[in-house]
Amino acid sequence: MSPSEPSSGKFDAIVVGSGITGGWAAKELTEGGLKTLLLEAGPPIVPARDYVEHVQAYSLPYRGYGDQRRLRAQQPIQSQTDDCDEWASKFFVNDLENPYSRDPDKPFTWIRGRHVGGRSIMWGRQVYRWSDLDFEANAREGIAVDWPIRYADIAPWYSHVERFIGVSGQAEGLAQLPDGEFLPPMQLNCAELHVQAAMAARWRRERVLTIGRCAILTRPHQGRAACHYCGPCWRGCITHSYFNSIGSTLPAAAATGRLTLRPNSVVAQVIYDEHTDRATGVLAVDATTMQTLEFSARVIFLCASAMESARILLNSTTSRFSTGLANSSGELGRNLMDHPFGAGATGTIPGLRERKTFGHRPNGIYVPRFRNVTARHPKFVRGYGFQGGASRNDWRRGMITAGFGAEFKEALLRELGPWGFWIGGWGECLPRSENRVTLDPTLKDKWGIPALHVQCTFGPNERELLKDMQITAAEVLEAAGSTDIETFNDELSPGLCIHEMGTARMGHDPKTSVLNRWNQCHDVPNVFVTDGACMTSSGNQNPSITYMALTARACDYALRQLRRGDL
Amino acid sequence: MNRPVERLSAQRRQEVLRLCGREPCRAQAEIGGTLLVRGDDGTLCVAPEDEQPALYEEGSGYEALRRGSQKSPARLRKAPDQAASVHRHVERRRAAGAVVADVRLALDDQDARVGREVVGDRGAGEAAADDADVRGFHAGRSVAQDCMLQCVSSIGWAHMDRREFLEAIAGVSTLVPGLALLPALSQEPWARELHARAKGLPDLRTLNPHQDATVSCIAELLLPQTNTIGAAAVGVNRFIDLLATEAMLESQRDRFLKGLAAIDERSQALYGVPITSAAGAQQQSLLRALDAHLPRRNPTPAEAAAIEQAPVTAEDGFAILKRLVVLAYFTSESVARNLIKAPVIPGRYDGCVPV
Repeated sequence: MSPSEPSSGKFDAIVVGSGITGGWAAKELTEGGLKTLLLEAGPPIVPARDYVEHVQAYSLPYRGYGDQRRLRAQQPIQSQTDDCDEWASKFFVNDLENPYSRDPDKPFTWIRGRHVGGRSIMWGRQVYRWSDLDFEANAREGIAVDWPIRYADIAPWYSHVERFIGVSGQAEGLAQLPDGEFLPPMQLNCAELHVQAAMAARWRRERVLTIGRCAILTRPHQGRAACHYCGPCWRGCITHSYFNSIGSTLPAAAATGRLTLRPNSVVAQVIYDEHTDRATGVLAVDATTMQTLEFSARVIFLCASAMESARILLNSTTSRFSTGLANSSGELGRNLMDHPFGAGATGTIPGLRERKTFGHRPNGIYVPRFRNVTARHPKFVRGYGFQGGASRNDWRRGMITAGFGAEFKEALLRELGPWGFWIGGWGECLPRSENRVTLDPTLKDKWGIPALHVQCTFGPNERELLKDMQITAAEVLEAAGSTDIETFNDELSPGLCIHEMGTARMGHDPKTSVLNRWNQCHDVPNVFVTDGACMTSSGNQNPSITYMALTARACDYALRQLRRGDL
Repeated sequence: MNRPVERLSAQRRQEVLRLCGREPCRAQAEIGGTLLVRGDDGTLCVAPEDEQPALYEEGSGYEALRRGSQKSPARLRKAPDQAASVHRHVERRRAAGAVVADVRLALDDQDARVGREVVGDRGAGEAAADDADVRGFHAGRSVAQDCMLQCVSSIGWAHMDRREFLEAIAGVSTLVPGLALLPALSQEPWARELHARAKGLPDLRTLNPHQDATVSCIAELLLPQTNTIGAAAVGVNRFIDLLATEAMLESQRDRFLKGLAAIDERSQALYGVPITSAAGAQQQSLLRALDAHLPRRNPTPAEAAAIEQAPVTAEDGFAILKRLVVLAYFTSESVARNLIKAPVIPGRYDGCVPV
């Protein structure tokens, strides 16, 4: 660590984590006038050095096959997600340094990125607003606790975020998936247009196929260039054409002159003062020197990810909070959710053999939720959205296609396979108290901080959703004229969707929730948690934009409170 | 790499401007190997594909780097990729009207007729006629001979011209007297030696000579040399050996090697010889039978776990090898650069264009 890096100091605000919500907190708080310290557990990322989106397979040692031995030895958890490939595995943590424990019969796959920008570097970039169908669900069905906010509370903040990050998409006017402030949509391809028309003919406005709404620029926006369609966003983007912290929020925060970004700073605890009943700062460990760091601030934003923020609070025990800071409700660490996915169908779209696509569109199709929107389904509550797309397979089909010899080779070199269509559901996960994280009594990470013990399984409602995804996905393909439909359910363990959330839920009642309607701890008002931990239910939409909007909203509230002297 | 947009051709300039969204753009600099241009609004965007020298720099592939010095990164970056450069060299010469013999013909000088042709006056002919001659020869020759030849040739050699071939063979012929007189199988070690010396490549580290010959033989049956480069000439055996040595899980490597043995056993049972020595029709027949069992999709995690526990059949061995050969061939620098030519920076997405 360079000597210029502070090991202590006083700030107006401390933000823990520089990922998709930490970047937003840093931007909003610094722009609001606060001298802000942003602590990131991992090292900096230098795009010119670390981004590898244009590197071709032949320039890698194993041409994309990956060093399976190293992955198994060092990243056996991380390598379960496809994006942890030979290019991008460096953006995922070393599992040996970052252990967690699980019960043998409850596998949970915790995918993490520890570096400046966090998982905003490799995120899926899909952004979908919630509606009151989602915010009212718990109250309507008597599940868990009610959300303390409604769509009207968050809608302006969705807009605020969309205007800054840039979201391409098609307005559809659907109540269950409100339209946002969209840049021009990306194109559907020929086969997707065919499926869209077939679905419209059969289901009209019930099942609608639209282009994915994604945080990728289709025209220059906020000083960032439009997408050049190279394809693999998760390996980085030298033109910042997709949204991440490094290219957008952190430069904005730095431009205020009020940001201090300290990488390699692993936060272990929030410091709490019994006399003032306020948090006074954080304790951290320098990841490279192992030196203890202590910083103080008037307000603390935890944006370390749902499970990391819960871990920090669980590890911050005091005589008042013997089970973890701000845990008078006992809900801290509980109600862990992740979207069930990995079920759907594949098939071939007939015809269109004289057409192909040009460019690598880093986006797919979306079918907004259609279950339990109007009619009530007999077997499950909530629903799912479909993601997927059509493509013609290139030479890779040669691995699983019969044939050999000169004609086989020339066909792989010169021709494309038929139009394959893949759709899979992303389903809602119900909050259940027994799905939880606790501190492992003995296991510690490389920096001596207690590791998490994770207990999480999907319940009957999630299993019914996965079954239904297969049926309705096959119906979609059938409507499109596909005759070789195969359904699938990969029976993935929770965690793999990388949408983990819910471990410090929001709610009206301090007895049954950790955070209030402003993402503020009921128990310790100058501690805010604005990452996925705050979620009272999971929706079925990709959650990042909701986290970002809630973060910006909470920052606005905290700034107003500070100005009034109420914090 | 600072090339002002004003100096580009009119067409290229249009392209740059379109990508930037507004004019005027000025070339900026190379960042992370990608050439960027900056517009007056400060927007940094990627320069069009054919203004990207770093992406297409000769020998930027890792295979080329490995072959160069292990110590000097600067030199590594400059190390040419021989297979690709020889290929390009040959293409240039053919374009200029020269006839360049295929080394697999040249190495076939156990066959006096062809050998004489190749080592003799072949280079004086007319290109089209010569190519037709080459194809005719391939069509009439047994696959067993082909397999043998791949053991001797391999990467880079396929496209050497006569002079290059003679120079290379001269370098080893004194060390290997009577090479051409040895029976096929016992030539393998010499072939590898020959190959390694000619290319300055390290020896194979996992595949033994017979396994290597089996891999090359089946690879060439899968993706043979035609008027485009074949699997053996690309050196898929070397890349597969690299994966088996460094990257594959040990359990996967063991299944792969057991699979090769199972294919041999099947060939022995059917024809009394390993596949490398079987007659052409027998090889074709065996491959057709194994290929009929190829899984048509990737296994689910549960299926993969079950497969892992089961004994390895010849069908399994073929499926594993086919995946590896297709991967090794199509991700090779030579094939990716010269035959696939997929755009790295398309600059736009169009969802429906004519094939």
